Amino acid sequence: MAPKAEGAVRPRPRAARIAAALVVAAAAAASGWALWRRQIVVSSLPPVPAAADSELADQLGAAERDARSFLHPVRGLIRLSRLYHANGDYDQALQCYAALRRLQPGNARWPHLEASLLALDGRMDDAIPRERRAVELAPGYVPARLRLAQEYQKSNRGAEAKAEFGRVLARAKDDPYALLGIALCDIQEGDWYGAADPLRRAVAAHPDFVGAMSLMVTVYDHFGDGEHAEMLRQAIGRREFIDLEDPWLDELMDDCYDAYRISVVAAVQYFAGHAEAANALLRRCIRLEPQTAAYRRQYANDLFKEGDLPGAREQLEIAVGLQRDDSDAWLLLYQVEQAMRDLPAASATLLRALACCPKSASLHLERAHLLRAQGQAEEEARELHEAYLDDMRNGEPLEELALLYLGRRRVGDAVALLQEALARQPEDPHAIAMMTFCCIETGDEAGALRWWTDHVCRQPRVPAELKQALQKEYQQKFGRPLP
Amino acid sequence: MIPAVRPRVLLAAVAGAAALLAAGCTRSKEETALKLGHAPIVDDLGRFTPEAVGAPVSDNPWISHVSIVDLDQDGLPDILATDDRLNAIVWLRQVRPGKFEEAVLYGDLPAVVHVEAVDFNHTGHLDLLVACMGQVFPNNDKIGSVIILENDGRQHFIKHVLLDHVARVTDVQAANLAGHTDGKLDLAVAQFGYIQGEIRWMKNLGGWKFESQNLLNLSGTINVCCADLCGQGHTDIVAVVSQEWEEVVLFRNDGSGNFSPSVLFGSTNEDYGSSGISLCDLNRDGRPDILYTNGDGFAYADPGTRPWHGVQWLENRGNGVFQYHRLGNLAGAYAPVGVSLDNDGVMDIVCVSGFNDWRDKKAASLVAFKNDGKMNFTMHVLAHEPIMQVTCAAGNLDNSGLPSIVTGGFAAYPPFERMGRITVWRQKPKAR
Repeated sequence: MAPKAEGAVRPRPRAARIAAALVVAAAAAASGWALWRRQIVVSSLPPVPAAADSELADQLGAAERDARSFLHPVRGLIRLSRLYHANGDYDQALQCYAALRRLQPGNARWPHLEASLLALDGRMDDAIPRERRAVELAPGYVPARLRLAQEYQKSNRGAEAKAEFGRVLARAKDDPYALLGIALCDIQEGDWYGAADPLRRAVAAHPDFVGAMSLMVTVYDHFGDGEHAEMLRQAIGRREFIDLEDPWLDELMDDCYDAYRISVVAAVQYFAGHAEAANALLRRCIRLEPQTAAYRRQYANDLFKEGDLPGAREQLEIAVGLQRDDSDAWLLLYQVEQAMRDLPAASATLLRALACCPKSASLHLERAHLLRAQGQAEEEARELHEAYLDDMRNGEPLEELALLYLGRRRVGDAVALLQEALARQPEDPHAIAMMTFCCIETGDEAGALRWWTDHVCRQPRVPAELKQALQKEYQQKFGRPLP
Repeated sequence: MIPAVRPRVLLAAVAGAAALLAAGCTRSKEETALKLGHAPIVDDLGRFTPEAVGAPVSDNPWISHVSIVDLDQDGLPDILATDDRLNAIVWLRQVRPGKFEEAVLYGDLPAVVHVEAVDFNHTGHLDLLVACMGQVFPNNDKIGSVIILENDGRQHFIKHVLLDHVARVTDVQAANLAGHTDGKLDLAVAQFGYIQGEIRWMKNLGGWKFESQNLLNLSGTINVCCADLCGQGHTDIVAVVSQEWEEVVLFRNDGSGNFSPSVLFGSTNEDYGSSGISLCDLNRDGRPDILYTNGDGFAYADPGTRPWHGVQWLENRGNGVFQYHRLGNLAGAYAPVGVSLDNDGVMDIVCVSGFNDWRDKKAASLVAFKNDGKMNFTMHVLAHEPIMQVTCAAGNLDNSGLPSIVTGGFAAYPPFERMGRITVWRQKPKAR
C-alpha cells in the first residue's frame, strides 16, 4: 500500500495562507506607500540655491540627503521647507509646501505657511483658499483665522473679513487684532460710530495695543474730540505697532541664518515685551556674525534696559573694538558706565569716543553736559556748537546753547539760535516755550502773546510745568495773567 | 518558512502599490507648486555713464526728490531737487547742453520733500507745487504744509501757503478733480504724519482759496497720483499708504469730487515697506498702470533689507480693476519710473535702492526692469554706486535720442561712503 502522501506533507491551513498573503500585501503596500512618499518628496525637491552662510549650506545639504533617503524623506522635506522659508528662498519653500500638503493633507501648518508666502507676494487670490483650508483643518489656531480675515480685507471683501474677525472674537472675545480689523472694516464702509466701539473694547482690554490706540485717535479726530485724541496720542508716545504673534511662522526664525533678519525680529520681540526671546535671538546674531558691532550694540541696549549693566558693558567694549566709528555704541558705553557710577571710566570713554568719532553730535552733546556739570561754560558752549554743526536735523544743542546765553542775558543771541532750531524742528516744544520766554524777558508783550497763543497753546507736547513757569514769568513782568 | 502566496494576491498587492506610486506622480492643479515668478537678473553696468551734477558732496546728502523739467522753457530740460540739508528747492539749470549750474530756487521750506512743476494758474509759466514735512524724521506734530510757488515768468516766485499746521505732507499733485469747466486745478495731498496722517483733496475755489475734503484718515501716505484710472472720463486718485497699513488705495471719482475708496493691493505684512508709486502705461493699452515699490527699511532695528522688498506692476484692466504682478526682488527699492530706455516705445521701469546691503560692494543701487515687449522683464543692474539713492526721474536731458536718468541720494544712516548727491546717468550710444 502506498504511503499516504498527505500524511508526510501536512496541508497548509487556509487561514495561514490568507495571513501570509495579507502580510505580503501589507508589506507591499507599506513599501509602496513609502516609495510613493519618497517619490513625491524627490520629485518636488527644488534645486538647492547657493547659501551665503556655510552653516546654512551644511543644514541644507543634510536636509536634502534626508529628503532623498528611503527612511526620512518627509522629515528632510519639512526641514528644507523651514530652511528655505526662513532664509528668504521663497520659491523653494513654496515647492516644499505644495508637496507637504499632499503628503500630510490633514496638517494645517502647510497651507498656512504657503498662504503666508503667497500673501507676502501680493497673490491674495491664491493665498485665500489655502488659508481657508488651514482654518478648516485647525479651527482653533487663531492666527490663521486672523490672516484669512486680513486677506479678505485687503481684497475688498469686507463682509467676509468682518465675518471672519467675528469668528475670532467668538473664540477669543477681546482679540485686539480682530477688534482692530472690524473697526477698519467699519471705517472702510464709512461707519465711524461703528468703528469706535470695537476700538474702545480693544484699548480697554489691551491698553498697550498701539494699533487700536492710534486708530482710536483718528476716530477722536474725526469727531473733533481733540482732548481725548491728544491724551491717547500722549499715551502712545514713541511706541510702535506690533504685528500679531503667529507661532507657526515665528518659530521659523530658529532656522534663519541671516543675522540682520534675526536682529529685526529681535527688535520686534523687544518692542512686544518679549525681552528674553529678543535676547536669545540677538545672541544668535552674534554667534552668526561675531565681528559685526551692530548686533552687539543692539544686544547691549536691551541688556542696559533690563538692568544688566556689566553684560551691556562687556558687549559694548567688544563693539567699539570691532567698529571704532560706531558712535552709537560709544555713547551707549558711556551711558552704561555712568549708570554703573564708574565716572572716571565714563569720562575716559567719552574722550576716546570723540577721538574715534569727532563728528558725532550726540557725543559732543554728552561732553557738553559733562562740562556743564564741571562748571566749564565756555567749553560747554563750544561743544554745543560742535554738536549742532554735526547734526543739522537736531535742534537740541541749539536750544541748550540758547539757554546758556539766556543765563548770561544774551537774549538776542539766544533768539537767533532758537530761530535756527525751529527751522530744523518746527514747533519743537522747548524751543517755542523759550521763544515765549525771550519775548517776556525783553518786554515784548505782543511777541510773547503771539508765541503763547499761536505756538505754545497749540503744541500739546509742551510740558505743563514749562507752561506754568511761562505764566508766572508773564504775570511778574506784565502784571496780568496770560490768556 | 515563507508561505506560498497565490500569484493573484501578490499581483493585487503589487498593483495596489503601483497605483499608489502612480498617484504620487500625478498632481492635481491645486497641488502644483506656485512660483513667485521674479525677473532674471543681468549686469548692465556699462550702459550708463554717471556724472555728479550740482554742488559737490560736502556732507551727507539729503536729496529727497528730483524731477526733470524745463523750468525756464528755454528748450533745455533742467533738474529740480528738494534738498533737506538746505530746506530748499534747488534748480540745476542746464545752461548749455550737458552743463548744469545749481542755485537755490527757494529756501525756508522745512523738510521739503516733493516739488512738482505745473502751470497752475494758466499764465504760461511753470509754478511749483511743494510738499513740506516740517521734519523728515519721525514726528507726529502737525508741522506739514502745502505751498504753491507762483512763477512770475522770470523764475521769481510768490509763496502761497495753502495749508499748514497739518500732519506731515509728503506729496501734492494738481488735477481737475471737481469737474471744473473753467480750467481750474484742484490738489490731491498725501500726509504721512506719523501716528496720524491723512489723504485729502483740496477744491480750488479760485483766488488761491481752497476747500479741503478728507479722503482717508490713516498714517503713512507717501505718494498720490491723479489720472483717469477707471476709464470713465474723470480724474481719480491713487495713493500708497505705508506704516502698518501697507495698501494701495484707489479713490474713484464720480466726476464731481465725490470719491469712493477701494483697496487695489494690500499686504498683510506690516513690515512690507511700501516706498512709492508712479503712473505709467506700461503695456501701452491706453490705460494708466501703477508702478509700485516696497523697499522701506526704516523700522525697529538699524535700517536694512528685507527678502520681500521689490517692484510690482498693478495692471489696469479697466473700470477700476487692477491685476497685481510682482516683477522682481530689489532690496530697498524706491522711486519706480516708467520709461522707454531704448526709445522704441516699449516701456521699461527704472528704480533705485535706498536700503541695500551696502557691505556688499555688488549690491545694486540703480536698476532697470527691461521689458521684452511682451511684458517679460529682466532686471538689469545699472550701478552699484553711489549708494542710498531714494529718488529717481527719467527723461530726455539732451538730444541723444535716448532718455537719461537723474537720481538723488539721501544718506541718513551709515555707511557714509560712496555717497552721491545728484547724479545724471547718460546712456552710451548702442554699438551697431
